[in-house]
Amino acid sequence: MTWPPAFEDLLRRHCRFVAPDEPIDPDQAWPVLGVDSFATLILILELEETFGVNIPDSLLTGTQFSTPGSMWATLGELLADQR
Amino acid sequence: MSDLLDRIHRVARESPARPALVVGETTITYADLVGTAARTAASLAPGQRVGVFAQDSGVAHLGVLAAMYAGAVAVPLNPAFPPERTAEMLRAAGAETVIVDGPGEQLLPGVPGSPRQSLRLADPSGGPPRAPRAVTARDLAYIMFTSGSTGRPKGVPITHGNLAHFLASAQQHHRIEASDVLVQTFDPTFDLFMFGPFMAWPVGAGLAVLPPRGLVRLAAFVERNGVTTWFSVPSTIRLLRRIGELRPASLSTLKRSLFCGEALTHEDALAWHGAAPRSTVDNLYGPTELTIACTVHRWDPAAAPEPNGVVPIGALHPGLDHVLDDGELCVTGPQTTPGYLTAADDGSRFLDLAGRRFYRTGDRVSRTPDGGLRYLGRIDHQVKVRGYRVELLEVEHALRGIDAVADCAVVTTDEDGETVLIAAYRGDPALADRLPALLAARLPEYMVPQRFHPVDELPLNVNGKVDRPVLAGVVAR
Repeated sequence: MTWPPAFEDLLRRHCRFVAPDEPIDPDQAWPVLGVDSFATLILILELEETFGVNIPDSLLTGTQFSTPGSMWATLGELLADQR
Repeated sequence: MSDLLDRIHRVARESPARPALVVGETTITYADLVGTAARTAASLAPGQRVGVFAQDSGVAHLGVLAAMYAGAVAVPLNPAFPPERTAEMLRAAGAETVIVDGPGEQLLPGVPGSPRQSLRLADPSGGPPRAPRAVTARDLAYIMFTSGSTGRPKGVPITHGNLAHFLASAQQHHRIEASDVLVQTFDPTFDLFMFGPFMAWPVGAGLAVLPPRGLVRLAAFVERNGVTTWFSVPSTIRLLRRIGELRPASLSTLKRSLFCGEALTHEDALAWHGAAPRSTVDNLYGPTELTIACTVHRWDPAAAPEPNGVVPIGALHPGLDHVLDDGELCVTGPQTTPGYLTAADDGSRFLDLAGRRFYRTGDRVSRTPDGGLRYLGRIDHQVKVRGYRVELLEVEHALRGIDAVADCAVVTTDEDGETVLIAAYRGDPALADRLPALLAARLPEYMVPQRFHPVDELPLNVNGKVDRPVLAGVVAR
């Protein structure tokens, strides 16, 4: 899966179990990547700020945000809707 | 004595359509709760150790209840833990049958060790569910694992007698009613997980599971579910303050708020009270070995804060007794675990005094003028990370197990009010990027240090041991 550098940078700051030269597995669950439940919240707030989107409540707590891949797919749709 | 389960069974018979558990968009009624537990229990034997390995919190709750319905012993697990750790927990507990959800069933074969039988929850429908199997006060209800300073997780068995005493004391204080809705914020491997279901269900109250990332929209969650009773670690307050989700009077349905697992500051209690002005605020204290919590203190917003700014932990539950051994809190009474799963772990943790067995908490406390207790700190190298117990020696043990690490020490620092683990190691500096992933294969996420510092030498004190205060200064940002 490809995503823009801005998204990659955000993820890198939080995925502490992924070495700098390793790819981030888009289908891996957050805890396995080293992103704890608190860090996912900070990540979501940073996403909203960086991409200027307002993520609807209903999307946040479902499976739409449970992996990097699903997070990017959901974010991509939100960005497309905004345009 | 199967009073606890009999009462849940009775609620289901009398009010089958009452909501017992809300997980996401799904509401599980008492009829389905008990139907599922009783029918799943039919595949389990009394005394059997039963792993509960599910990503879905609903399945985790039902799995624990099903094990107890059978008179079996629940062993809660977490699929996000490294497979080796889950294997060690299953082995130590002697659990060969594991209740799973879909993801758990897929992940279980990747857990090393002897093959295990995976069991899915049964369908709740059918005739009236069979009554729960009778148990005695000495029968085990569940086994929790905590960080162990020897390098292995320690299994803490809790009996039905332990649990019943906790629940009776807590109910005397909190007076949960059928109209209440409690929140579940804990992972099943954290013993505070047991509070929600077993305080709510015997009285017919509801339990709403806070979904992953639910804190971002906490006010909406609390409002939608009509949550009356909050229970979390105090770190949650700091996080909510940081993300601006603790707005004045935004949690107005709350009547009671409970905090446990780490020190609660007066400042955080005030901030919470601002968001939940109609709620009492209780500070609870208690290691897993003393069953969920063994003290409670009702915080008074008008009272002057303690000089150290930390809310006292209050008085011991009725029926428990304590001594201070050189300032260390030692507790005896009906909430004390019968002893670790591995007898070798018992050694220094219990104190036999005048025919009574006290659990050494490792916590330094002092007495308050009103007969309560205040927490002062640890006597050893155990720390709390967002309420999770972490033995620094266990983290060091795991780190030393990595070939390229010659020696290491783990220290803590305070960053924005949170305890952060930092590892210093002797070895290749380029290794620092690899160590988080290597350690994550051995330890749960919260035990993996946030930063890794290569050092030439570890500073030693006059006793020849690692000088942690000096090291903390060296590695601090």
